Amino acid sequence: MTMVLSTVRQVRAVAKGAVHQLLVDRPWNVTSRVGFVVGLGLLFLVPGMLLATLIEWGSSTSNSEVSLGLGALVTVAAGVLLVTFTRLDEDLPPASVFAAVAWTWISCSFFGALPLWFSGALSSFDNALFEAVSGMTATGSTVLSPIEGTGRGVLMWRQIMQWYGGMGMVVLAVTILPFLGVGGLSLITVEAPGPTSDRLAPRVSSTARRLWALYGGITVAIAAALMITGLSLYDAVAHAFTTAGTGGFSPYDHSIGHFDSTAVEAVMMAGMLIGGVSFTLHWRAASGNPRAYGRSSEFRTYLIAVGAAAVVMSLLNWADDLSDLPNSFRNGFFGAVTLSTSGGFANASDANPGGDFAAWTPGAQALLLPLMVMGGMTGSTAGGLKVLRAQVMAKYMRVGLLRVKHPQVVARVKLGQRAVSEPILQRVAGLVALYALSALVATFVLAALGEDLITSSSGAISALSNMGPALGDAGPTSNYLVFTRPARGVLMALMLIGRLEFFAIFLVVVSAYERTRRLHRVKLRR
Amino acid sequence: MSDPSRVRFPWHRSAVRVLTTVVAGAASLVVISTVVYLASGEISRLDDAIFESMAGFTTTSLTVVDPEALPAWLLAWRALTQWLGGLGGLAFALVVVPAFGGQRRLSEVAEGRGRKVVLARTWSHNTQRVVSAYVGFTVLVFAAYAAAGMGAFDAATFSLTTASTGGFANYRDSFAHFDSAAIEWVGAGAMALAGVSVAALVWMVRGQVQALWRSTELKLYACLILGATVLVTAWTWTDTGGGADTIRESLFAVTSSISTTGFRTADWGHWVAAPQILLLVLIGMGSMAGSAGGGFRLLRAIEIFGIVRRELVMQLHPRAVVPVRVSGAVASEASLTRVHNFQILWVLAIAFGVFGIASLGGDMPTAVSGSISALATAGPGLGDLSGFADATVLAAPARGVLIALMFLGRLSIYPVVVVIGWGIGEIQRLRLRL
Repeated sequence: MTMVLSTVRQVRAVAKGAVHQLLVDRPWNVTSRVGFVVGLGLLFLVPGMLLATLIEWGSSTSNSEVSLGLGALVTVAAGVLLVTFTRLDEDLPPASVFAAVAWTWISCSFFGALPLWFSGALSSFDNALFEAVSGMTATGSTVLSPIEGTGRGVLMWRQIMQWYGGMGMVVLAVTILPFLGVGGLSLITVEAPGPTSDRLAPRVSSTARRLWALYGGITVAIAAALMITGLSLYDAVAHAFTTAGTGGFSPYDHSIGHFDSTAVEAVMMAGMLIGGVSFTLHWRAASGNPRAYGRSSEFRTYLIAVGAAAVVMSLLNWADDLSDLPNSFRNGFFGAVTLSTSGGFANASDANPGGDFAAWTPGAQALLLPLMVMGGMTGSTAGGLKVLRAQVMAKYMRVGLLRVKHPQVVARVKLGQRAVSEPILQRVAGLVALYALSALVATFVLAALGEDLITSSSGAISALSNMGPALGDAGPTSNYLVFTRPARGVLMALMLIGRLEFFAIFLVVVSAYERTRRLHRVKLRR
Repeated sequence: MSDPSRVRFPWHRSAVRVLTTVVAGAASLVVISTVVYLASGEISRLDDAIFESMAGFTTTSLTVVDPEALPAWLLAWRALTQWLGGLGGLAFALVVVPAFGGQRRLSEVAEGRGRKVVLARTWSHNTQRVVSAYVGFTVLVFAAYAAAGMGAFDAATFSLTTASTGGFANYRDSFAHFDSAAIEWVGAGAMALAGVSVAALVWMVRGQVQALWRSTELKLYACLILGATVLVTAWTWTDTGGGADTIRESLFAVTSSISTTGFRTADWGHWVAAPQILLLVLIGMGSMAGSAGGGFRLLRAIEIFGIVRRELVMQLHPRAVVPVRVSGAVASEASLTRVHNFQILWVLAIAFGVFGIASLGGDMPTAVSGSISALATAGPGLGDLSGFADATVLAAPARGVLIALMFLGRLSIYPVVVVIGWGIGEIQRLRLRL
């Protein structure tokens, strides 16, 4: 008996080795870390495309199912080719990690644009690409006009892209990026001390799985809540996708204003806030520790900041006679939540014109910009600089001022009970500087391409924070077609830069530069 | 003293004392000037008098009076407040800051950092150099204006407000009043030099080309002026008819902005948006550290660039040691931290300014450009503040916000915040004792 068992084990081991050799080592393949990851990412998109195709096929309004299916087919082909003919190397130097992440997002946007382009919803490819980038980065700026009248499946594909985009970010932020030694995780560690708190599970892959489960659960819950408020299954699912991912796409021209329902807005606000909270906290709460929320200083700051801004903006709008008091508060809170979580939904409609925040009183608009910059919590689906970084910078500044007063003082920046180490402080400060610099340069470039001061500055901040609508000409009732074609190209780059937290996209450029310089040096030596 | 570039303060005081003296000194100058304006009877409202004095001593070109209705002696006083404000700013940056406690605090001065070329070795000698350079430059500008065809009184007042990067003019339409190409060329050149650090001016006079060439900041300053002039010229070529006039007007606008002076030759609000925003960016970036101008200062901008570059390189090579260099010398970590803090304070001040002005009646373009411009102690802006507009386009409470921003900007924010923090601490201690 034991002999049989050991033989079986041996056979299994040999078989496993062979499979491993075939699938993982694959000595005949090109070693391309980037290609393999990109291929995986593309295959990942296919189920969503198929779902959209099915919905399009089932709906009676239009028949673009062939184009959607074709998009899926091309994506499958590209993904399978890449995964089959490339292989992943064991060791991943930082440069190729960033390259892999950046190229995955770029190619996913590219292939995500195909269904929109094939179906004719957006006739020029650059517009389709803009829509796809805005979708994959969960931004929510749209160039589709009018939205209603497009096939239901095509519209659902936009929503699904944002769902992918929202989660992709969390997985990147909490699993892949920190695993490779990039800032985010060390910050979470500081925020919530504990041996395994930084990852939800000892292994990164199971962390990712848990995050997906959590994300799926939240999406289902939002969809259910939306159905209770009276939305159809299609509407509920479509909006649940973009609420959980804090994206901002809606299959209606008036976005949430289409429903003109306080109940729907309340559910969406709750959904966006949940999406804007760290998924690590959600996980800990879900595994029986709901006090984790209260103990996180980032969570408290986040709620206080959003709440305070909402109250002030509501009062300012009310004082300016924009709408009556209940409606001012309704719009103020919706605006604060949708801008700070980088959702970007609009609740403006003919019945409720006060929801158009680009038409708010200037004082309230001036508060929206900092909210956009701040964004949600670290490790959430929201964009922006993140609350934790804002907190760290505020404390860093206080210590700096203290040092002016008492040059010899020993003062440290503390989060919760723990001191933040100097390298992390520098990282955070460097990222903030990078954000400020990018926003400044982007504002200038957009202005050079023909926009006015407010449109270009708020457009740049909105794109970098993956928010969606901006102020000025690009408000929530407007459309990104107000930007010229080259300006839309710049905005696409900004959305990707912001979504990947700056480094990935910039470093692809930097490392390419380094490589050419190294080649150059080698040539010189010869 | 091991480091020859370090200048020692003749007396030893705590940082808070020195900063309190600075803040109180600046405030008392404003009070004196306010009294002068009120006593003259030309300005009847207290808040207007405070605004005008504050704009004077902070070398901002925002005004609430009609200069053409003022008597000559008051115009002279107005110009003199700006000149004194510029001198005060220079003294603070070049003498007080590097000297107190024998330590280099606040990163205002970098011309001497890590370099053999220094202004002077003793505190009094340093002060002397700064004052004589400033006075000499003013006289030079006066001579140039007079040679270009200005009357003696105008040349005197305009040279005072040019050398200090102030921007007060004796006429409602600023430089357009003269309608003279020669005067505008001289004005553009003088403003460009006024934004250069005093140390670099001294090197220029002494012919120390090597020192000039080594200064990253000076090179950046020159490149920015050239590049921006080319861009503005290109953007406004068709609007303004092209030719030498367009080039001159562009250069004037660029130098007036980057040196944070604020003289105007035309209503730039009629241009397309792009050059206007470029000018606003230049105003925000501002002049060289160690000049009478304001703004974020190019030196800090260079350090921010270095920090960003380092951050990118460190992501690829996590263990690399990447120094941030300014003018060939490695910037200390402490100075980088200060730049970070300053950046945050700067952005916060603008955010508060935008919120304040917007909620007190200005529209968004006016609020954004007005806060940046006031904090940089320049003056011109977009929206309601474009063209030859003065500060009266804003309601009195919104002008109060501008007053605060100008004061913060002139004193590089730090001293004011530290002194306020110290004051709050003292009050709390007092209450505890009671």
